[in-house]
Amino acid sequence: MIEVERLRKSYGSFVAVDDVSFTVQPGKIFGLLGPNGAGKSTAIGCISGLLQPTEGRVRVNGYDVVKEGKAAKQGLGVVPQELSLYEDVSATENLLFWGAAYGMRGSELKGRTHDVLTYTGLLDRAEEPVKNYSGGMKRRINFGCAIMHRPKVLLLDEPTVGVDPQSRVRLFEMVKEQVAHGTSVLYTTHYMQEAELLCDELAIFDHGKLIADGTLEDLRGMVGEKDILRLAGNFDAEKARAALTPLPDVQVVTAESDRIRLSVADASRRLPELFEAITRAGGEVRETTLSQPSLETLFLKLTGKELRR
Amino acid sequence: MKNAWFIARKDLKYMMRQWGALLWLFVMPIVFFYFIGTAMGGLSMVTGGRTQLAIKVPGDAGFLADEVIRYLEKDDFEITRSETDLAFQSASPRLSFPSNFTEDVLGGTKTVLELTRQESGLAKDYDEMRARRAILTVLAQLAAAEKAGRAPTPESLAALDEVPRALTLKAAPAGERLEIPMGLDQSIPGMMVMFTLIVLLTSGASTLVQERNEGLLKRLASTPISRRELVMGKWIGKMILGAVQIAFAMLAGSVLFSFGWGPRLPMILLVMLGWGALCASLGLWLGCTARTEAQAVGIGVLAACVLAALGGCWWPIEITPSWVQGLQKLVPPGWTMDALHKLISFRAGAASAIPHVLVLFAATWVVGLVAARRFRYE
Repeated sequence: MIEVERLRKSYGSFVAVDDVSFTVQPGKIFGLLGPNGAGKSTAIGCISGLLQPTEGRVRVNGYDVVKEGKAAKQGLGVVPQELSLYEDVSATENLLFWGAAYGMRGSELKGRTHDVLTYTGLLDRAEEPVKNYSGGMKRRINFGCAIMHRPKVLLLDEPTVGVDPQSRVRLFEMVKEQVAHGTSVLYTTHYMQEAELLCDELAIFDHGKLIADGTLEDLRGMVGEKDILRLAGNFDAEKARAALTPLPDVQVVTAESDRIRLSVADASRRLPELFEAITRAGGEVRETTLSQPSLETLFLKLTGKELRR
Repeated sequence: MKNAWFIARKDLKYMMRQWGALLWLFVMPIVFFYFIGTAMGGLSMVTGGRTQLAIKVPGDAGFLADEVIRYLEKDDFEITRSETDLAFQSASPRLSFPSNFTEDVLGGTKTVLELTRQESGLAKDYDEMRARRAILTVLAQLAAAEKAGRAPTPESLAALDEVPRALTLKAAPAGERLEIPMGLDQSIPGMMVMFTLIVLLTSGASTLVQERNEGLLKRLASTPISRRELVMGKWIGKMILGAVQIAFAMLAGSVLFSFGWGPRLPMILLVMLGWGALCASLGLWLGCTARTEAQAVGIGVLAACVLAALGGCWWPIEITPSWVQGLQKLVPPGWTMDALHKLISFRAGAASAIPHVLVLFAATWVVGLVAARRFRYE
């Protein structure tokens, strides 16, 4: 279980994480969503003990990460975004090293190494140097190193970056299997689809702040029934904003140069009305894109940015 | 400490798998022992043996020039006559007699002999002193001949030389004359000191930089291994690597080159332990400071070569000008080489190296603390 209470991390006047609180329950996957620089990795750093929080408290399995660091870290497994592996040595030696780093020794360590190699599907290439592996295989052994000591809490920082579809599916399966054993998982990602597929609960980060959180149903409720409509053409975005804002049930999300994003209920039926408003403002619509309500829609509404194209 | 040892063992195992590290650890020192030792052994410098002295004697220099040369030979100069002017000008040391040397001396006209030595320092002073002694002896012979009413001829001077001296002045050094280590006596301790520094500044530092850049240190931060244990482990790993280098170099020196470490072996080992510890701290500091592996290796090689040269690892510091000898006292390899020369070549007592050992361990502590403060996971 992870308990984050009013976490704040600042570097001088720059606040990377600002008053963030959330809890990850055992047997649940909690997703952290946000663009680059949103503060996700800083939050992960504070939870994993890499960074010292400026304010607030983080507890892992009931242990304070700052005051009871060793006990907290003993039950924590981290799958970093970068492949943190000794590439010149074999998968077996990597697993032996990371297991031993958590205090495992002797037959327990060897047995667990064999189990994890089998679990990650790398047993037949266990003695090859990791540098010879494909990206997907490296990701799997990266995950394997984190679960050697059977942690009760797993932090996964964008674990599927650069992974082929097959390995991605296997990684998802492995995460779900850990959760089925009662492990709490904190999962950060850029990919909305991953978050929707895997996470029981989600928090959306932007500019160091948690701007929305809850279960998938809660967040979908926040999106409502409105569509996201993107319009582009020969018009001045600010003039178009002025023309569209007075219309009922139309919310301007972003407006820049010759394009504008709107949150509109029943958008397909209201297209003529919207086109007319822009024409009256002296513009002309040349391109229209309509998106159905989704987490991405919510993210766009809340942050004014797309998460990943 | 259990975690620190775990990190140290892992580091050592990892470094010992790298071909580059193995080459610098076990192959290059032997190659350098041999080549530097051979080159040093071939140089004509002040050693326990005779010094080669090139001379230029014009045909009209006369018999007094032969007399001076005879006394120079008596004083351990090996006289060579250069066949060409060019060969004479490139020789060092060299002595040039003027034309009409004998005639001018007997006629009371001032005349000048030119002694040239390219190097400065003690060796030059020693050559000058011996040349003066030869000239003064000849002048004394002339004075004695005059007093005895004999004409100054080769025969009369030879006869005077046979007469027992009424008064003899015997001069001897108060202490034992130090023989400057040359050949393998210089290259084995010197290259051992230099390679320990090179290996720990390059392999030791670059491994740490690589681990940081690949996110391995960051990942280690999330394990129960504390920062202190990790830093200590990194230092111990480098220290063991240094000890392996030193032990191998000493063994190779003894077995392959029959090098004698002398009766002060325990103190030599203590000096080298201090040197290995300081190199481990320096390697840790460079690993904590450099941003890329290339930077760590580049700085490491450059620093090691410059410090080794200033510290007297390449050549005996005793043959260098006094300002270079002064610089030696400022650089860590210099402290180590000075102690080794005292213990191995000058046969000084073990106590003579105590200040060196204390300084090495104090520097280890200071540099280690600075490195620990600079240590960062990412």
